[in-house]
Amino acid sequence: MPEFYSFLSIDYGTIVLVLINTFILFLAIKHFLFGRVNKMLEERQADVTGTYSEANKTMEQAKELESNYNSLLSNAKDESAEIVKNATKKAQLRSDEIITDAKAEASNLISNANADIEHEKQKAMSSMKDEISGIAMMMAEKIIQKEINEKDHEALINDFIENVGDDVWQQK
Amino acid sequence: MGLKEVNVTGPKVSFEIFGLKISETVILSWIVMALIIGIILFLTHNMSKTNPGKKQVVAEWIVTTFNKLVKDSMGERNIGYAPYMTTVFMFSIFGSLISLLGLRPLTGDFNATFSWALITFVMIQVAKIKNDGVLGYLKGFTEPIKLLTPLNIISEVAKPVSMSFRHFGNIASGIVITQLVYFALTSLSSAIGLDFPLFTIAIPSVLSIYFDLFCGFMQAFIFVMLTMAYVGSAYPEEN
Amino acid sequence: MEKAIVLAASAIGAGLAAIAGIGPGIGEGYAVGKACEAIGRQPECSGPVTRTMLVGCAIAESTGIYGLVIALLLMFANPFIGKL
Repeated sequence: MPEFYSFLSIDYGTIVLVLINTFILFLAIKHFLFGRVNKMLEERQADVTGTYSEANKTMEQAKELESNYNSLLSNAKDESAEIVKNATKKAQLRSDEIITDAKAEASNLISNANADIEHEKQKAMSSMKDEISGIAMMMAEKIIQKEINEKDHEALINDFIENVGDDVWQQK
Repeated sequence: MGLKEVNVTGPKVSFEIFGLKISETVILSWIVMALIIGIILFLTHNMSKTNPGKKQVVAEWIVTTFNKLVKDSMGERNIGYAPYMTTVFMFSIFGSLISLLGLRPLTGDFNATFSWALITFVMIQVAKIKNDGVLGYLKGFTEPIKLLTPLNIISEVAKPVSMSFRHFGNIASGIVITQLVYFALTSLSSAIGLDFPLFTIAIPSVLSIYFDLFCGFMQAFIFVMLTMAYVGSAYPEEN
Repeated sequence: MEKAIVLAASAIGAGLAAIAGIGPGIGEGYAVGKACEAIGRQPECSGPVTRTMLVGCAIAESTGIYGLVIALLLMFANPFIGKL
């Protein structure tokens, strides 16, 4: 028959032994559970922090590169706009020049033509004058017949025709 | 035939060494310790930083939960109490749960709960001395008026006593009630003429779920929470 | 004869001691009701409220546990029989 303690009794031996057991268990839990796991958590935390800072650094670098590229891009845009502007200006100048040339040539041609016309006119006029004066002479010869000195009359008629031609029928 | 009378006793004396009686409680506490140490060694074996396995998750969960609990109820600077709280919690809960294996619960012995309450008592006093200094600690007993000094001392002593009695009472009443019900069911079985105690098969397990699982867990939790509350208020966060 | 009287008185005393359970029952019911109200009003605080309620209930239960321990003591570890 085993010996039993009473239902509610104080036994110093048990108390001391349970205290010692609790202390041993405390040391075990502190060392094996908390020590190991806390160390692990700290290491992981450090890892995570390191990774994050690295990621931030990389992000900053990427941003820097991006801004560089952006500035380069905007420079290129400016440059191209400049080039286009220059080209337009040049083209404008060239076209102006061409137009002026053309205009000059045209006016040249016109003045030449005018001169030709004038020349032809003169020629025609002089030939007409000759003819008319000849006709007039013939008419006068026929009318007055030998009475009139040919030379004096020719001068007279020429003068007449000159005046008439310039003033009256040529103007029409 | 069944039992003739209910005989509720304390833990039995396992063996005697040099005239010192070693109680069943101590043997059980060794079993519980071996169990807990085995579990934590298993859980924290082969831990990896980047790829935690299931058991490591459990271990980390235990540690972070207790750290958070201690931080929440005792303040940041008392975080060093977390391992002790875990120890008492696990010791208490496993001590109650071994009754599922048919053993006598460790916490059903007043000596076990009283020894933990003693630790709590010492912790409270040390924390008070740390907070107020020796003179301030002694002066704290005479407040608010000198007349109340005996009452202050009594209330201080009553803390561990009430804590240990609460834990012990809950678990021990579970033992007693289970034994009484077991006795009643055995008597009932023999009363209707059965040689075999038929009713004792399933019915006590319902009680076991309440007393062993629920009460065991609740009392362990309350014991730890009270310890944290007392020690935390004795050594509060500096403002 | 004396032993019978002591045992009977112990049994009656144990029964009376169990009356101590009334107080904590009322008190804890009140505390849990208030905690439910608090959780209903602020469900996000349910964790701390439950924890505080459990600790408060544990403290309120002390007196009931004292009664229980005395009852158990009188029934199973009777200190008076040894004094006969």
